[in-house]
Amino acid sequence: MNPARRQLLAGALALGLAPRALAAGKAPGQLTTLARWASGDRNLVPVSLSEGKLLFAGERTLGLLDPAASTLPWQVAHSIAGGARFRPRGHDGIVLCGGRTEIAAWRPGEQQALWRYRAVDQIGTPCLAGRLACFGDGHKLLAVDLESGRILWYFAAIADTRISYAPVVAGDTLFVGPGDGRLYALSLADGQLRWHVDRMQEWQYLRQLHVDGTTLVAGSYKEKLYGLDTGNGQQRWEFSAGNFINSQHVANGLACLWSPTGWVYAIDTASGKIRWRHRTNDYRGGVHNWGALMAELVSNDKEVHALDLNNVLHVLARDDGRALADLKLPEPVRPFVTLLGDRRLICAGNSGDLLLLEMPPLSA
Amino acid sequence: MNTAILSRCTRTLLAGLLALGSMLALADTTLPTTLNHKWLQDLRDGKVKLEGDHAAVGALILGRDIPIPYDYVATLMRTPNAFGQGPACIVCHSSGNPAHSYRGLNLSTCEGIRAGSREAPSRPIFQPGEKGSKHILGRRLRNNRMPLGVSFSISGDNPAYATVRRWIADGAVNSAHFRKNVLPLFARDGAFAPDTPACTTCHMSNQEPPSFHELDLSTYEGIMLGADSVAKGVNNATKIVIPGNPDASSLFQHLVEDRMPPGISPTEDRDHPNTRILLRWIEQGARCN
Ligand code: HEC
Ligand code: HEC
Repeated sequence: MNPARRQLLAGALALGLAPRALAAGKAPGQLTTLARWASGDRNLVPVSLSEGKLLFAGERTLGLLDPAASTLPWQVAHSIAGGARFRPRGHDGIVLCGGRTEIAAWRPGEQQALWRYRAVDQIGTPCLAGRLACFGDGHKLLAVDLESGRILWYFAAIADTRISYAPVVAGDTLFVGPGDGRLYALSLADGQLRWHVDRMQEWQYLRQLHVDGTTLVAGSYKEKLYGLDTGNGQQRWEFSAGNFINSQHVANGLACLWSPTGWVYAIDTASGKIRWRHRTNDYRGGVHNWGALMAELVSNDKEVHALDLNNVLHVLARDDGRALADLKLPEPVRPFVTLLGDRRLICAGNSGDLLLLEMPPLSA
Repeated sequence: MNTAILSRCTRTLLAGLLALGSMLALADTTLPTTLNHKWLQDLRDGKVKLEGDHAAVGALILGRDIPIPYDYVATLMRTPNAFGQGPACIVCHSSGNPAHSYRGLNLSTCEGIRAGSREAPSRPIFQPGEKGSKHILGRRLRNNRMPLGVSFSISGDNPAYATVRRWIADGAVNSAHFRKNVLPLFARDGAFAPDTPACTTCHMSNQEPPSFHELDLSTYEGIMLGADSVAKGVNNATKIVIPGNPDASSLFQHLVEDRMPPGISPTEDRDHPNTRILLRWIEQGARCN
């Protein structure tokens, strides 16, 4: 460190302004590989946990992983042009997998897809509401029966805009925020419009919608996170991240996100207040700087986990954001992590291997 | 509502009431006539949305489109830390004389700001009346140079930059040369500056969740598709390469343009309230009085 910088820091310390996390000492450590499975597929998209098993998909294949079994119980070539773009999703023994050009459903164990739907325009990230698969194709939102592939209803937003991000369901209402700047609340049963709000100027579109209690939490094109009333779309709060938000993790009253301004923020989903924030990067290149974050954050009831692009898993305390550990991954991985419980987690190596990893015990 | 009628009514009413000496009471409860009355009325009607940390700027200034006086802009240019930590703009951009002032850019007078850089290539830094964020001044205040975190001390003259520039100037085609010499630059650590991550670390796919700005620099198709393609759609994506014109290509701009003031950290908000006020002044016509 150069002397001027040291002096500056000393000054800042005296003022109590020191970037807490960057100075803090935390347990260094390593994740241990307990098992690995070769998918043979590079560019795996994030996996999903479904009925105790994991669904994975990549450029060419779709499959099932059972952490208790040494071989993959099921894997098929999905033949979706352009590869899988969305995490596969499962319900009631049926798996949905897709990309921008095509989306299809399988019954694990079988080779043939139950049905396939080819995009008229461009397919958006789907969501499952029980046996209903809801996804955008261009400006139309389709609700498709997961088993038969039959289109049960559709809702047309404004032409020449796109529904790219997943809708979200709360009770019998489906929310979607396409590129026409509106938030639509639709009846899940028949797609009838209940209400909409138009805020094109402010958010252009909403992405990564989550519902927590009666608050709809959604990111927007303009670097902001919104808390909206699920009853009428009225704004409860708004949070400016200072730079692009690529995803946010919402669970049990907390919305966590990384801003490229170098913070992990934890925001109270009811009030919009910042519960804590953790400095990840001061862009001065010190050893305590995290890599950038692309993987969605994950959490359990005690911890928030952040996988950075330098292949380090950072563990923060959920209640106040203090650093608990920085854990090195055994090899370069794709930007996602899924927690299994018992301090175990799933990642995917860049080689296409799925990895079952274990965390060392953390002294809190 | 017909505002002409409204104001005519208001005038008569007011005239009458003035005589009664109770003008204030009425204006306060029913008729928004001044900025302040409108504000109070909106507060009463619950119409005020408070926007995060900079609520006052959003609600009282930008949301009401009040004219930004040049005086304020002049103050910003003279004030350290006005747009995020760093010295005042006018220290380095003090006159049109490129011997003493970087780029011959004079940010110390209104005429100088409107005239732009006087050193070759001489050019304005915005168009009065237009949205400011895509023009030179807006870019310099809002866009971090890439790769994110790269130092301003890295010269934009090295061969890697020249290779990208030349490729765009030559029409940005998917040639053998592109695949062998250009595309790999985006995937290599330290390709543009030592100790920096490859562009594709952060811009690699449009999967779920997407890369930063939904930008994929790992393939020709991704580069030509551009940014924000997932949400805006293929046809409306923000093009980052304008074949034949590197200077207008945001891919090249992001490689070589340092955010101002030099050394400002990417930790600073891109939408600093003062940046938003300055850009609003430009949109309003960048008036000098
Ligand atoms: C410490 C000196 C310094 C300060 C302070 C500074 N600049 Fe600069 N500025 C430069 C240098 C050097 C260049 C040219 C090199 C480059 O492109 O990065 C430049 C280039 C620019 C350009 C590009 C002009 C063109 O023709 O492309 C703009 C616009 C600009 N500065 C605006 C500002 C603003 C606004 C501020 C205040 C927030 C500011 N600068 C503060 C040194 C400075
Ligand atoms: C550490 C992550 C990271 C790396 C590495 C990175 N970027 Fe970025 N990029 C960002 C972020 C964050 C933004 C959002 C804008 C900003 O910060 O100014 C961005 C924005 C951009 C944009 C603007 C897209 C738009 O909306 O128009 C371009 C172009 C770009 N980057 C190109 C590059 C290139 C070229 C490289 C490699 C030299 C690179 N980036 C490396 C994180 C990164």
